Amino acid sequence: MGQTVLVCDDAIFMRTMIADILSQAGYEVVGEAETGVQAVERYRQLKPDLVTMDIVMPDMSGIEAVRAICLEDPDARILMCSAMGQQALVVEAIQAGAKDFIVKPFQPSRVLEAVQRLLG
Amino acid sequence: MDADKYVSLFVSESREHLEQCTAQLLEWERSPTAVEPRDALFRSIHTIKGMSATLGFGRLTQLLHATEHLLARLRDEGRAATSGIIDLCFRAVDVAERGVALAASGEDDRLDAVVLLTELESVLGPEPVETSRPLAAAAAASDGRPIRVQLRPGVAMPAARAAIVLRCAASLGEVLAIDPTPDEWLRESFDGAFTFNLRSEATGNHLRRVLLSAGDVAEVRVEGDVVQRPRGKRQVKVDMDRLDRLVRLTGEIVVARGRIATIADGLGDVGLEAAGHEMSRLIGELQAAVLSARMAPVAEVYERFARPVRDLSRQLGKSVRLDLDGGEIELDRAILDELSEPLLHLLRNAIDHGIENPTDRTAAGKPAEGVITVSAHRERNTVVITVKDDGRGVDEEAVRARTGWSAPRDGSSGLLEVIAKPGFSTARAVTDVSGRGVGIDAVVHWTRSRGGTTELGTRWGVGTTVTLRLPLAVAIIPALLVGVTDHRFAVPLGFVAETVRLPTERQLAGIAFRGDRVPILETLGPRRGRDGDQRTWRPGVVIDVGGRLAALAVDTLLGQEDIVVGPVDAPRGTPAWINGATILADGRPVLILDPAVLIQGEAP
Repeated sequence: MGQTVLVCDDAIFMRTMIADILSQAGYEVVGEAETGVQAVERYRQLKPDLVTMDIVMPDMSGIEAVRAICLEDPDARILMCSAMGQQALVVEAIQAGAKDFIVKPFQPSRVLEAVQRLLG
Repeated sequence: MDADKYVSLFVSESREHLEQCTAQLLEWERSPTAVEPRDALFRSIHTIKGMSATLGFGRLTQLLHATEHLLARLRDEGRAATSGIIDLCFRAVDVAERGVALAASGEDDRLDAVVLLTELESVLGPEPVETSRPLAAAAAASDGRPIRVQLRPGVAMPAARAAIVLRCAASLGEVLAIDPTPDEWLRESFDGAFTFNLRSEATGNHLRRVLLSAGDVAEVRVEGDVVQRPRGKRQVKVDMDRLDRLVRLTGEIVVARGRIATIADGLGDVGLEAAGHEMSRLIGELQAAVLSARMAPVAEVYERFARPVRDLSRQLGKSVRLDLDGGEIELDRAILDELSEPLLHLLRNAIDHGIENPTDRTAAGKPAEGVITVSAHRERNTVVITVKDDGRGVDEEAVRARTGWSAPRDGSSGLLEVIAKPGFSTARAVTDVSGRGVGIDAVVHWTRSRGGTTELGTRWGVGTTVTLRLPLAVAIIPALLVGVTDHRFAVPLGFVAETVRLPTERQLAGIAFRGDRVPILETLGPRRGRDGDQRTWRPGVVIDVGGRLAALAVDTLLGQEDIVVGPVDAPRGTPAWINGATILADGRPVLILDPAVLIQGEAP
């Protein structure tokens, strides 16, 4: 059975793209979230093996979501999806508990490399 | 979102951290030049701040940030703490405690810390102009193993990647002396090469493997290997509700087992009996394991005492040393969680009424510093906790003048009931600390409601000792079942010394037992039995409450059984010596006796 992933991004476009890359590689996208609050909620419900997390999302940023998720589950495997110029925020996310990051625009190979590193 | 859950997590963790803060502050106050207390304080404040900020508690976060910043400046500027700074931190921790409570009830915006904030921000004066920091780095460089990491050239976001490397390193030990510093990684000039020291037991290979797993790492160089040591015990945090559920279920299994045993006894099937015994043994182990999971050391409560004792003795101008003993003794968490309040009552009483001010002490030929000792030890099925002070003791003269009480010859235990009466106080002036007479009776009541007893010993001029005896575990206790007429009672086995025969033919006030004269208690029914009872003796249960013995007359001894004890709100009119009720294996109710009250009833 494929390992499960929760995709968090406020843009349908990005969610679809990431979900496509991952499901083509054999991972099972079990849920999506478009806000930080949703991400935390879904994580709690689904307990996915991996989370991809956008940084800028409405009502709760990805960084806050990371913090909230890691407060409950310090071992949560969260991959930050960032854009150029967000380095300081990514550092903050990592300090909050995110385990790795990828930089937009995404190259499928880089995405999968990071995912494999996290899922071992 | 399940915000309540976060808030409750936040509250419980913050309280833990704030307790640690207080402990660190006390330590720091003892040695103001030490860096460990300051750094530990910093970490705790920082952690709470992180949580508070996550939950959006702006006021609280601001206060914590200012405190953290003050501590960071002390560290970075290499300044020692003054008593003023430490006092300020004490106040900050107090206000943060209030802030956590306010935030928990959704009233973060009611936290008013403007004055404190100003003080926190101004106490160190203006911040020094940023200077280079290699000195601090060099000073710490001798600590831990030097490690050099080189990221792959051209890697995206080298600062973020380096942060991951650092986190991987931190999973192995303590990271020190990072060079260049993480702040500097964000600069354009950072080329992905950095060094740090790691205090860790991990082998070089393991370390290398872990750091390489951070991704995009070109090279890791480690200097000096050490032998790997076995890891410590692994622990998980478990919600109390879950433990409670386990205890309840185990209790129900114990009861169900009893029912099966009763049926099996009637069948006389050897195989069934053997299986029943095996099951009993396993359930016994399960019960012990579940109960032990609920046990926690008394030291957890001890940690909360240092601060109030310090504050109160300062406020009252007294010099008090607090000695804590037996912190490793474990108690059921349900009791432990409630224990701090009664003990604080006793400590407040001891400081306010017991310990004299230094002048009076010196005049009385005592050391100026008073000593309060809180100690815990195991005694059979109970944990005994004593709060002892070397103060002036209870003024029995004053008690007598107020109440007409006179001391029983056999000891001073009668005194407790008198001073425990709600509203009683011999305090010359009612202070805001104690002296309203609500202390000791609340303690006595609480201990009793938890199936324990309270004793008081005092000598005028020498000191006072209050002893609390608490059941080791609340949930399931072994008891001796006795029958009197149609009723059945359970005597907690922890109080049973022996069962004896009480002769009925002569009128006796007591029997000889282990060389002592032990009074006979006929509280449950007359020793002589009912009409038609032709026996020349009736069974008696010798109960032992802290060395005081009495023989309780009963009709029949029904054997030993585990009973499940839950707190019971007794209806009005229930005799004080009934401590609760439970349902037995066969489904019949039984009343649980309180041997301590039975024995007190016997006192002249």
